[in-house]
Order: sequence, then C-alpha cells, then structure tokens
Amino acid sequence: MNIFRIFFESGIAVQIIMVILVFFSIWSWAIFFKKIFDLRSIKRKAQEFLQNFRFHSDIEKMYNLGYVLSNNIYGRILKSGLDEFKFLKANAGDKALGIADNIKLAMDRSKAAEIENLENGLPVLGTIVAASPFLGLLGTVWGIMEAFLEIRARGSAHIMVVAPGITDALISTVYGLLVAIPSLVFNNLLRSRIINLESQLDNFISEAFANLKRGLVEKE
Amino acid sequence: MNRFYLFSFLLHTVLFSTLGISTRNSFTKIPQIEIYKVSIAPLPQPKVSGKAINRPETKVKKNLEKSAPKKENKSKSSSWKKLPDGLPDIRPEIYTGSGRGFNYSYYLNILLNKIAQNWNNPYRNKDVILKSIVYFEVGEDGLITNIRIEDDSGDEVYNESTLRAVALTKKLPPLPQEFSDDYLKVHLEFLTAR
Repeated sequence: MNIFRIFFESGIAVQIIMVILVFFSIWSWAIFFKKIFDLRSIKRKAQEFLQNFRFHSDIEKMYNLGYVLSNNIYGRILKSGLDEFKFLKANAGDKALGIADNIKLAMDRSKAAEIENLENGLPVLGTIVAASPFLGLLGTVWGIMEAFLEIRARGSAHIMVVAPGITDALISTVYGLLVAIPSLVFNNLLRSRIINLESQLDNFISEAFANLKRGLVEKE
Repeated sequence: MNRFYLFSFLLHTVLFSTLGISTRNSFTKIPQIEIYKVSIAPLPQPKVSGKAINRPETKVKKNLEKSAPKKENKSKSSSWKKLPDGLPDIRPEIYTGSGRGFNYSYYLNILLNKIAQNWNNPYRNKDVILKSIVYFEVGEDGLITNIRIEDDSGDEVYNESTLRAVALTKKLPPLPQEFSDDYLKVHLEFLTAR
C-alpha cells in the first residue's frame, strides 16, 4: 500500500476530500503546538510571579513588581485588582470596604478575558474532531459510488474492477480517522489543562482579594 | 501562530515523506488487467432436454459416433470442424438450466492459462476497454474446434487477436473422464481493462 499511489489513483472528489483532511490535520496540530507552548509559558512565568507575589505581601510593594505584572496571566489579573483597589481607595472613601467586591469582580473579568484568549482555537479543534470522520465517510461513499459506476461502465463485476474503487473509498475513512483521533486527544487534553488553570486562577483571585480587602481595612 | 503552522506543516511533510519512502517498493503502476470470464455450456443429455435433441449438430454428431470407431478421436474432431456454420444461437443459460454442470476447475485453469499464453493483446497497456466473446468447442480429446466470434468488440484487430489466441492453442488436455458429454462448449470472454 502506497499512500501516494492511492491518492493519485483516486477520483477527484476523493482527492479533494483528502486534501481538506490534510489541511485540517496541519491546522489541528498547529493549534495543539501553540496551546501547549502557551500553557507551558504560563506555568513557567506563574511560578516566578507567585514567588514574588507571596514575598511582597505589602500591597504598596506589589506595584513595584514591574514587568512581572504584565507578562503573565496572574500578573495581569492582579493588576486589574490593584487598579480597582487604587480607585476605591482614592474615590470611595469610607464606603470602600462595602464595595470591595468590585475588586474581585475586576479580577474575575480579567480572568474571563484571559481564559477566553486561551480557549481561542479550541472550537476549531472541536469542529475538526466532529467533521473529519464525516468527511472521510463522504469520501468513502463517493468512492463506492464510483466503484459501482465502474462496474456498470466496464460491464464486469470482477474483483480487479471493484477492488481499486473500494480501496480508494476506504482510505478516505482512514484519513478522516487519522485526523479526528489526534484532534480529539488534543482537544480533551487542552480543555482539561485550561480547566485546571482556571481553578488555579480562582484560588489566586481569592488569595489576592483577601489581601487587597485586608489592605482596605488597614487603610481605613 | 505562523511558526506553529510552519512547524506542523514540516511535521506532516516529514511524516508523509517517511510513509512514502517506506512504501516506495509498492509504488509501481498497476499492470493492465486482463480479465477472462468463461461460461461453460455442456450439451444437455438427449434424454433430459427434448429441444436440444432436435438440434442439427447433435444429430450429426450422433451419426458420426455410430460410423466412426470410438478411439479415432482425430477423425471425430475433424468431423466436428465440418459441422455447418451458424449453429443455433443457444445461450449458455439454456444449458445450465438442465442441471448439468462442468465442475472441473483444474481443467478450466489449464484452458485459461494456455489461451492466455497465446494471446497477444494489441491494446496491452493502452487506455482502451474492449470486450469480445469467442465461442469454441473442446472435444473429448481436447481438440478445439468451431472457433468463432460470438460477441464482437467492434475492433477488428482485437477480434482477430482473440480468435488467434484460441486458434493457436489448438489442443488442450483430454476432457476429464468423469465428464460424460462428448464435447464442451465454451464462451470465453476477453476483456481488456485499464
């Protein structure tokens, strides 16, 4: 079995479907590599940031974290909380503690934006997972249809007339599954990692919010 | 993102190249397929089929059998050649319907192999689809007689090549002893396909 021979001997419809499937495969692997790279980068920077964050428990000193505040998710979420904290402290006066939840809301909003950014591409992966087997199936059905037309054209149902068409038809399903199965694994893996990260961010937000709220009380 | 696409593309290129190289030995053009289909139509027993008994060639053969000694196969087969042209156009289905079959696949294999060796297909490796059916009879001694084109392919050269293939074969092994009929009618389909 030679994949190129089978490809070139297939009908034009099956060839188009195979090209689409290869394109899908390249797309899904690219998304996977990007997301894995992003998640690793987030993890590495998060470790560095959390050490600094816990070391600088003083709120004023948190502002001095500098670039660390903007080069990672945790930093950006904390920055949105700090901005809100700063705003409340400057404008709300005595009522600041009463509306301290705004700090948490600001951080939640920031977290949602970050997660949304991270999930970018996953719907595409999901679509590839769902569509690839069907595309493969379409190629198979088309190939079988061509095989039967061949039988009619040649007036013979000999195995040598039927077999090539059936082989082309089945290879299309194989391609579809070869694209769909890795994509399914990538999709599930990435989603579970993002859910883990989301839960870690929630913990971080709770911790940061507690610190900032304590800061409001101390200032009052 | 672009570098990830590039990386993915390169990965796929490497993967497909590896697969292509590892299976390169099978990267050969499929040779042109030559399909043989044979329909065997043994004559029905005179007792069984009333219509077949009345056929002229059966009568002639019966007379010959009476007049010629049994072992003189050559004279018998040469007499078959003298059978009048334009035998009744009896389709194989009529005979097979009588319940008599030819279940000697080894003999059919020999028949097909011998004829295939003698067939010089003028359209080998060409993008042409042609079909012709050659009719002939095989006597008890294996001698081939009464060769004619039963189904014209529409191409004289092709028809001639199929007739020639059968004519050149001339003689096959004697029919199986267990086969009770005097001769075997063969409708051999020559199909060349890409």
